[in-house]
Amino acid sequence: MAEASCDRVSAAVFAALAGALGLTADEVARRRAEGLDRLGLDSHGLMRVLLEIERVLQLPALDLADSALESPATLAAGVAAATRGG
Amino acid sequence: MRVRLSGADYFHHLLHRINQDHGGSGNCGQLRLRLERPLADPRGLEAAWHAAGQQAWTLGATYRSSLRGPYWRVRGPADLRLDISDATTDALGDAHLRAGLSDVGSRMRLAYAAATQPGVVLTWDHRLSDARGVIALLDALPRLAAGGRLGDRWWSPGHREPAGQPATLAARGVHARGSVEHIRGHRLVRLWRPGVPADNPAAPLRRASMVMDPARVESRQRAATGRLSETPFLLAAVAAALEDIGGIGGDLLFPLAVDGRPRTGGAMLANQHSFLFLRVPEGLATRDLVLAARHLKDAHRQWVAADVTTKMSAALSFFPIVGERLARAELGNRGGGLAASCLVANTGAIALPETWFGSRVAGVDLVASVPGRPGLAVLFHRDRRGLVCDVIAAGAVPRLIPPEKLAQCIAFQLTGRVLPQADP
Repeated sequence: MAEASCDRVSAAVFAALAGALGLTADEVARRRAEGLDRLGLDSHGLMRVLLEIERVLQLPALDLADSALESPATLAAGVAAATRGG
Repeated sequence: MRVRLSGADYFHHLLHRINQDHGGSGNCGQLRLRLERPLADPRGLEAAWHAAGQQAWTLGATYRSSLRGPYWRVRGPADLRLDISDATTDALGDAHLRAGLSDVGSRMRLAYAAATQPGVVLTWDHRLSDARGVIALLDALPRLAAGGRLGDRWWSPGHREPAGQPATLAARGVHARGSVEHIRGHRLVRLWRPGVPADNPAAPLRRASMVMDPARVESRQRAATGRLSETPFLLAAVAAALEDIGGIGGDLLFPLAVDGRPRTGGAMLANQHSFLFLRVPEGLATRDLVLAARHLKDAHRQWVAADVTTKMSAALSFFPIVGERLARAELGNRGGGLAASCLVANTGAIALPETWFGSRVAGVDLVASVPGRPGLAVLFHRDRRGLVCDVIAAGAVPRLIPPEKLAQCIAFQLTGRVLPQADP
């Protein structure tokens, strides 16, 4: 159950990043360890991505630590933790 | 070919008219490339520039008006020429900024200053592109000199619409209606006045640059406010610096340029940026820089969450008169109750090849013409030298806010001011 929820969060995160970066969600998943800076996401773009994730997952405003904003993988993990209340 | 204007095009079209109405040269941006030594291959640059005009047809586009509003007319390849001058880079840049682009028949002009202070000056019409697109063109020139191509997507009309902007008039009308509340909210704000009368708007601009250590600024910013507050932190520093210099009162309202272009693809010459209007309450940045940055970040978030950039863009293209009133109010012209404005942009990293036509680019300075009435622009970017803050002041503003002093004050706020969260 928890795994399914995690997959749903990852899918939403990667889809939001894909939209912002002009990539496919599969490509974002493949490059999940790369830095968001390196992928070309500035802070304005990152803000749009967070808002999109909140909208899709129906979450309140996300307040993530900087460590969660490093790469697609850390972002997915950070959002998953936030959805669990962690 | 007739090309419909995008919202960003409209915004800059209005600025262009405001500038020209008040005696300015129009809405020009300019890059000054500081070269370490004269170009080894100026003829190669000349050939590449000519090739750019042959491939990116919008460089030769003209603006026309009709009952349906202004539009671009693209007629075919532009015949671009490289000017070679014995003047210094700054003298050449100043002259081109005063003259504008009306005498060259294209949306860009490129000049090479081969004298004691070698450099390349690129002046462009802001209705064509933003700074990032122009930098990408400079980056592509060595490839063109080697026979490469830009590709059609560089000027394709389909790439001029901002992301999320609906194409139909009815859908844009709905968005446009939603913009009114945001416009009204800002027009009720008491804005800063420099306390000096408007003077000759055609007076030369004064500019100054300050180079800072990017690692120091970033580490302080990240420690104090986190990654999402990068640009809000810079804005808060500008607000505090303006208040430190004194002579102004009231809230500060910053029109902040935001690049809405997709990160991939080749739509580089499309004007796809928009504006946020972010307000800093009077005295907040002076009292607490970190709190001011957080306040700006929250305002930025609210602006994006309400999708105001799309609404504004729709408003500008749907009923330009509202856009014109907005632009005049927010940028310091008539009716808004303010006598000056401060336009801020953060262009990010400017990366050019290590060797550019046989010379190394030591650094790049950004210049922009500001509205014909007294005005101020603060432009941040990063190049080989570090984090660069370019300050441009026009009209009567330099008397009250000398650009050199403002640049120093901003640098102090970013690198020297004690921040509880950043300085143990």
